[in-house]
Amino acid sequence: MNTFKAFLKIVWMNKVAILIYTVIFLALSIVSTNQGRHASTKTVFEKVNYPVTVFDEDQSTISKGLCDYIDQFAAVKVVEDNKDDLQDGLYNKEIVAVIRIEKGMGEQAANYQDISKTKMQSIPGTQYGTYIESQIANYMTTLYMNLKAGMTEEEAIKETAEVLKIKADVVYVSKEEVDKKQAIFFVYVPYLITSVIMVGLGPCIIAFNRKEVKKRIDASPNKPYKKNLGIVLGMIVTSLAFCILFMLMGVVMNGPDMISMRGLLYFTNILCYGLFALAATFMAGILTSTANALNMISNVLGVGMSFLGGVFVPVEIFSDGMLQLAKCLPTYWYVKATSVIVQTDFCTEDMQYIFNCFGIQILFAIALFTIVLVMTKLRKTSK
Amino acid sequence: MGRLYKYSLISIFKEKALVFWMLIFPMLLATIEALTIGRAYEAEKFQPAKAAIVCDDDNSEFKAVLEELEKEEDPLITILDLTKEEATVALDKEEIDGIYYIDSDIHLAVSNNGIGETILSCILEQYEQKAALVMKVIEKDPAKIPEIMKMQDESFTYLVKDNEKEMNSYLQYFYAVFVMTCMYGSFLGMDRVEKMQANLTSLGQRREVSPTHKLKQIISEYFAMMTVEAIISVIMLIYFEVILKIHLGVNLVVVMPVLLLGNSVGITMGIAIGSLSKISDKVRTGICICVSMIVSFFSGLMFDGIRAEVDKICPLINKINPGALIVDSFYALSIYDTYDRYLANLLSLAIISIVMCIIGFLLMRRNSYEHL
Repeated sequence: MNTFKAFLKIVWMNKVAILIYTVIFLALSIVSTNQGRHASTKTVFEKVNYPVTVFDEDQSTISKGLCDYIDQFAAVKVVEDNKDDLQDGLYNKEIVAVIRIEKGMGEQAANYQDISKTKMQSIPGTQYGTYIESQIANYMTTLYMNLKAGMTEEEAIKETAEVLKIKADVVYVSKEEVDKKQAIFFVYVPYLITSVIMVGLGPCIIAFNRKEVKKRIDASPNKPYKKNLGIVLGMIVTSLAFCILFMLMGVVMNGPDMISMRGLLYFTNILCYGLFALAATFMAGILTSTANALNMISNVLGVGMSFLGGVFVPVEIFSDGMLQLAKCLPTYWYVKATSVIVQTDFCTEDMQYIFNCFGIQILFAIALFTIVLVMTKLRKTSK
Repeated sequence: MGRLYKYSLISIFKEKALVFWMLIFPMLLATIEALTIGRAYEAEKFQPAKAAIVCDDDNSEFKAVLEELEKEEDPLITILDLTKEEATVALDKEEIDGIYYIDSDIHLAVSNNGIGETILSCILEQYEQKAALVMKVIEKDPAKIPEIMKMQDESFTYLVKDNEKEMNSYLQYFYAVFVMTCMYGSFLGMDRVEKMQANLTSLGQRREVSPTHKLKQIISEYFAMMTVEAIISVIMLIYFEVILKIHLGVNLVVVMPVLLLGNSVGITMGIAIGSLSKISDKVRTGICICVSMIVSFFSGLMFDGIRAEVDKICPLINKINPGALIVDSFYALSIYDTYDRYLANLLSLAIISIVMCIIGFLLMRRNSYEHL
């Protein structure tokens, strides 16, 4: 019990550092979560609605007709017509294309000419550029066909608009309606846990591993297993407190929906990852003897595993080789479990997958703990 | 002065932990980012939508249209040869974007709302729209049909692509690594200043009693730190361009002033924090971590759109955040044809650096100790 109390005392001594890390990482996670609040929850099919900016300098009947059509398939945004603002918008993806209809476009169209007066500025080769181009081509082809059918400009525009109202019969095959945005906060938790547990508990392990402290404890009447038990208990209690804190934050951010089976699964996922973070901290504490070195390891592990495991960037953009590498990290399985938990209808298949993910994270933790035990044993034997 | 500079330089190079934070860690991070985000921009490039066709009628006109579309030079669609059951499973696993069911009427099944699904629905829509148009013309004036069909087959140019530029917004992640390198200079600044203060280190006590003027000490330390940081910045640039093959889209010579001023801000920030000698070592380190993390985060180290979001909510933050100014300078150099925005950012960085320097000097000057 003495070791346990001493452990908690050291944790308390590091309260400022822990608090700083917790508050900062939590704040950054919350900001990121709120940034990602546009996650889709649609259950009916809707076409993508890319934001574009249109400048109609022609103001002819045909150019106005085209603008009306663009308004239907894209989200037209008003941006001031200056180069800097437009480039900023394109770069930050606030708009994906700038369409400028120059004077004379209507005349070219009325004479069935190639249109050189409709100009589009976008990022070359992108899917949105290709899509917008094909939509404009569709409008213009239909318009030309109507004009060839002998209609006046006004009639052709009216008829084109009418024809283009025809929608395809699209059936949306989807699972139950889900609120995917709630997963965004939980995805960031591995970064938080790794950093906070390492910064909070690492110094305690280092302190207990200091030569003088070790010798003093060994010379005391306390049995060695009691010392180890105290340390392990201290680590478990503190880590559990961190996990509960992060779960509570999740509840605060996502509301009472979290007090459910889904919430329990999120919490179990956090616990499984917390176990791994604990094992990693244990290992780092044994490998290093200074707080600075521990800081280095916690940063490299926290940021590195978050990037490689799909916390900061989705694994969908990884190459095949990178994906294989990601699978060797517990963060990948944490994120995978989160992505299934958010949309599961608790069917056997989903539950099996979720528990597999939990199991893999626990196996990672066990593997690390085993390595730590072997290392400790080897060190003792060599001495 | 030269001697002071030389020895400061030697002692900085001996700090292995600082070398890790300022060089090895950013390099590791850049490598990880290159591995993960490196392909993100490519993922935005157009990929044909994947579809399966469930159709009993081999003579279906729509099926023939789809097959023709697939044969085009830059096809919008790729058709996978799957049975109905296979197609359903593939759709469920999101391996295809949609299934066209062709019988007496045609419908499309999708399981998502992405660009692939949109393209598939547009293909079907355009087919039905053209069919409706032809039917209307047949009703009104069948003689016009050949002309209309000719018009449909003719390939007009309807749009001219203008002033298109490669704009890889994912590069912001890499720009932010440079921000981090600059901001980690604050650890160096703090460490060196602590070694100048008698109440913090024994080296500080020795320096305090030496006859060398404090300003001389600070200036020599500052230039030694700037030299180290400049070397690190050059190594980082070379590492990005040569080893990682990440082209930052900027002229490497023109970008050096940004990095130097960024480094200067980091170092002077560290000097200012390190000068707070009355607070504990842990709190000073905590402040340093906080500042560098917040600055890096809001420049886009972990989230690429954050700078633009901040610009919408409170643009002033981006004007005083050295991280945002560094990233913005990279951006201005890669996108703009003029140097106005870049020069304005340089000026802001210089002002921040001077302000930090003044704060540090005011906190450190005329310190005297009753006992140590």
